[in-house]
Amino acid sequence: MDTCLVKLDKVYKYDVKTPYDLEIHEKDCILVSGDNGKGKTTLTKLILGYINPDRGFVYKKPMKIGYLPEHIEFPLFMKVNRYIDLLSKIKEMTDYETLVYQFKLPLFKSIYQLSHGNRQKLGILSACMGHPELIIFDEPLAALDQEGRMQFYQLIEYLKTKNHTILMITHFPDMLKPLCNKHITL
Amino acid sequence: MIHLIFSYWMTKQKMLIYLISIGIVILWVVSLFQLDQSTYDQIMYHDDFMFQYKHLSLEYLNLMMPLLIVMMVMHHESNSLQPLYAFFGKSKVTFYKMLSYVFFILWTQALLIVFIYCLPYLMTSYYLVSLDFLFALVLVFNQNLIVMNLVFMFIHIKYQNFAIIFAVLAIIYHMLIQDKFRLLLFYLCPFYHENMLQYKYHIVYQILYIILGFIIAYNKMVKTQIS
Repeated sequence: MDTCLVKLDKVYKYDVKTPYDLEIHEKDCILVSGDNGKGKTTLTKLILGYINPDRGFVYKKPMKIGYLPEHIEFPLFMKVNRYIDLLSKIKEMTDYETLVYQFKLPLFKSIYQLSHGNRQKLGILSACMGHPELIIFDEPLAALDQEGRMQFYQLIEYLKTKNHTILMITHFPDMLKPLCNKHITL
Repeated sequence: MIHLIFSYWMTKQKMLIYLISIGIVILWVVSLFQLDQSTYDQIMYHDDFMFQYKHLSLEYLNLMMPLLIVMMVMHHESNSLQPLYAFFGKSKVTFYKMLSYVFFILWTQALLIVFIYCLPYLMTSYYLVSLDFLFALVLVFNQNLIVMNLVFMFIHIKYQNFAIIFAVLAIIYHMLIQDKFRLLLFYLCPFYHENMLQYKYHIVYQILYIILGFIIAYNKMVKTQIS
């Protein structure tokens, strides 16, 4: 049986009405969707340990988590290739070319020159770097065009072949549903 | 990692503010050299010139540096480091974040010491290298680390602009203790005062105070929830 990475046991937050009951096992691909204000981002923050639950318990295996926040910020005056290089050194990852190739990013531009969509792609790329045991994407499809969404779809397929555990939060579940083995609607 | 964290918080605006502030400090220091005085006057009244230079440069640093440091440090709790927290853990990233600020302040101090302590040796005839002056400069610069710790400890992301209060308080506190030096006040908040130069061991107290501040600030930052 696959190892349980995260378990949320009747976890309550005062601003979210329904409790969270969730288990994330290795190689899971989980999709979380729901209306605005239902607590999707709160769920990721509970998993990441950024906030504490008001009631209930969060069990988490100590691990590296790749995280794409809803609003990602970058060092704007750094070139894309320099940023990827630096991040790969810090995260001790050398085989990142496939990921870079997948998104066709303009490597020699400064980050402030990138469009919103390209910044999102860079954020997705950074979250996947370093072979994290769990990858959390918070609204990965926001700001991506049709081609970008297809590239993201292919990336998830590729990550699944590499046995990554993935949690995605999105307002567009129909597109990503075929890839996931669990779908949670909040 | 320090480099990456540094590039997250050192935005273009901050770099501009930093360069302008350093430029102003250097211009001010050069204006204190009194280059318009003749060499003979400078040699004859070197004690007076030296006293004036030391006094004014330290006063100016006392007023300028807290403002500069607060402006650099005030946005320390931004959301940009969230992906790094997730990957490396909050304690490790917080430690490197603090290191990035300390290295930045030490670099600024080293740069200013070159201009304030070494440059007059080359450009004036009255200046004599004095270890007391270097000691005073180190004490003045150490108080920047105290101001930085205060910002780390008390300034949360929701009200980060209030950090400027610490710069104002540091300046007012310095003005208050300037005429009436009280040892008790120094123990509460070891900012520079010229009487401190008599007590060489006070620097040890100041350094321990800073280290304690770092430990408290570090624990506070690691335990703070990220909203």
